[in-house]
Amino acid sequence: MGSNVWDAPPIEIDERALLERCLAGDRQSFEALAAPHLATARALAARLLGNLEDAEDAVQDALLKSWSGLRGYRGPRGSFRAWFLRVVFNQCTDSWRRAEARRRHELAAPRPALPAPGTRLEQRELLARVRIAMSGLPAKQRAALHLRVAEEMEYREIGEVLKLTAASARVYVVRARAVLRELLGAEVWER
Amino acid sequence: MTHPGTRQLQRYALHELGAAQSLAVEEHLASCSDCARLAGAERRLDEWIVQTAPGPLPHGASRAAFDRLWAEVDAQPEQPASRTPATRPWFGVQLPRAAAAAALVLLTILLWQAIGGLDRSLPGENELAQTEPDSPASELDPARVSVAGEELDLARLALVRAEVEETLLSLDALAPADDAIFLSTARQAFEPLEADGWSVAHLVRGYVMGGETPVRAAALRYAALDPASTTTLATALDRPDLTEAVLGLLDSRRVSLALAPRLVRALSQLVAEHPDRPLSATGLVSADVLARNGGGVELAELLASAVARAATRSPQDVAVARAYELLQRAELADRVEALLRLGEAPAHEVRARAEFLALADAEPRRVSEVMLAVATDQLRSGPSVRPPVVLDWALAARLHTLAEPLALTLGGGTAEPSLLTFLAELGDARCVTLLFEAWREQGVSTSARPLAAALGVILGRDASASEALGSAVADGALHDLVRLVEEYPARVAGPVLVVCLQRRPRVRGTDDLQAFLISSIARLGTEHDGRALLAWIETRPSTDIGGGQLPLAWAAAALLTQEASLSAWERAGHDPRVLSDVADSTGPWPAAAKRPSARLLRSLDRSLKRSPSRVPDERATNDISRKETR
Repeated sequence: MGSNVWDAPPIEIDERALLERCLAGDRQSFEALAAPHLATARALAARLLGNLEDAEDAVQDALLKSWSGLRGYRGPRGSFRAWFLRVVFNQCTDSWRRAEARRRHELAAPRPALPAPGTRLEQRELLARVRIAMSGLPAKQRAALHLRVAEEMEYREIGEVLKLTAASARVYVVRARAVLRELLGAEVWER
Repeated sequence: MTHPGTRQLQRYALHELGAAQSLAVEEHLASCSDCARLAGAERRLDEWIVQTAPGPLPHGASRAAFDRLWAEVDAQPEQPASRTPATRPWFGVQLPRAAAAAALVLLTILLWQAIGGLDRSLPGENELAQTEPDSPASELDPARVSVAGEELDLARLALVRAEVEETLLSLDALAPADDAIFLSTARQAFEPLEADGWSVAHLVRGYVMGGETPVRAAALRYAALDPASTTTLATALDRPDLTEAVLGLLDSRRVSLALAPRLVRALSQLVAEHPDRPLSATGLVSADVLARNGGGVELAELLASAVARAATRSPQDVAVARAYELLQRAELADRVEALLRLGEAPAHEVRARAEFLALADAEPRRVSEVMLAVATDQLRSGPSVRPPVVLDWALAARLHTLAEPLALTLGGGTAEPSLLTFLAELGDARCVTLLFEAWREQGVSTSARPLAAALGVILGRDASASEALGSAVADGALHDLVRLVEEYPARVAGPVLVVCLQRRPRVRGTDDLQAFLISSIARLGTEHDGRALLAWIETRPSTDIGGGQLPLAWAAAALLTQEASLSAWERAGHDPRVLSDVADSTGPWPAAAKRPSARLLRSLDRSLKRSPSRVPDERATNDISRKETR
């Protein structure tokens, strides 16, 4: 490799070239395309499904669907990341619906309850409470908020993931924050 | 600005505001606790959302995921590649549409021009030809990329990048205390890559310069720990959008002296190799880093050369650079001067002072001489100078040898008022006592003597100073003393006034002086030193207090309206009628003194009734009743 690190530009990956090779059946290129986004996909799925096991299963399924459906990706309109995360989001939504249907036939499991407002919470308990509160948000709001805050994605890209305009994505984030603040109550303000 | 509102604060928290708006919000937050609380809550909300997100992938997780994927794909009868031959890549289908759209736009423009809708001509054929992209790009293999002169396979490169990213992120959960484990584990993970010819430093640089936030933070951490990546760290330090992150990282690690020289050398290299690209705020920033981490003269030399070549724009940068240059010299005077100069830059004050103290410990006499010269120059060069900076350090260093010559220099009644105030506020009794004694022994002017004596009383609080002050008062220097005391808060002036009253309990001066003393004593009563004054009053024979000793009566009243007890007054054998007279006074109450409270008046009334031998005259009793009613 070149020894003059100083002058070397940041490495940019050409998604189009990789995608072309994916479509020719090159698995390594697909790995190269998808690998950088696996952590984001797993985090999004965990946020939507509530646990890592289901999230990893959903991402695994999404990987298979992505590989099989690469021709559906219209690259110039968006990044591969947005497209892949959209597949993950849809997969999670399907998984959640199936799980809900299963639950309807089983005894209703009690949802975790938020601790009583006003109690002084330790950090660990507080984060558990935030997780529970997040799980109370509608899926799109939850996803939008997560992608914006935890992944620092642009609204335009969030819109691509969730099939929204950038402006709508922003509204989802703002609403999600408002609901979350309400659910968390005084904990947010009084710490 | 007005309150920004929740939406604006949210936009601020989400970094959606422009620089000017962010600045305006930040300025407002600094002065508005309500909005600061709201913004804090928004930030906390974000932090919790981030904290509740799953961390990075476990090491090797992506490999396992792809292995599972290919196993599943192989188990299926068809594969997408064979099903969809790559004769037409996805972007190929877009071209006809794009061409059609372009043709439509061109047709519309031509039509528009034909009907006179445009008053300027379209570009000619030649111009259009010039705007077309060069064709050689199409000859490049899109799946390969040239990095540092080497042709690389894109897929392989992307995979390696993902591997580096995965490693960095999975290790970044380690606490700062585990930096050594972070570095050794990362190196271990990167060994196969390096054996395969990849430059990890290069890849890390890619993440620092172009990565997303989580990876960038981890990559910066690696760059700070691995000497091979120091240039990356230096480059990041010089990039305005990364400077803060780098400094935060260095601060949190209390950057070691091993890193600081490397960093400065890298900065020097940056400046030397890219003279056309001046450093941003790096000079000052690096000085901060060094200052906070105890960099020595060797670092100063490197920094000075780096900053000097950086064409710095800020005068403070230049001053700091110059100071560091001076620090390199062996001459003590230059070094002290450099330290003083650094000390005036807030970011360097702590370090400069620490170095000065070390220097003073080693060579107190020589440092005293230098400090005296500097202080004298500063004091003589006008009101804009700040002698306290010099003296503060000198006193902190206990340079008593400085006090004596300084006293001589400043003697003769021409003392700088700010210096006196500073000395009084500083409260270094030992040094000021020396100053006072030197002053007195050298027979300075009459007007300077009470000032020196007062300083001695205020700060030294020794018997000889009190005596000297009393003599000065007796000599008719009270006016000078009054002027001095007027500038001080009551806690400082109190002891001086007490001494003054001890020496001349029956003040006979001009009306102005009398009025001043009255107001000063009342002020003492209402401020901090009232109890000390009361203690002194209680030691006086009751006869001293009667008969028109109005100042003392004022003092007593002021004290009693605050906290002092009437019983204490009575225990001391004083006549409550004096207080009664004071309470009855309709004279001009000093602004600082409170009027006697209703509680006091009731207590006084009861006290007078209990003491038939001391029954006040009817007028006073009636007045008290009248005031209570009012």
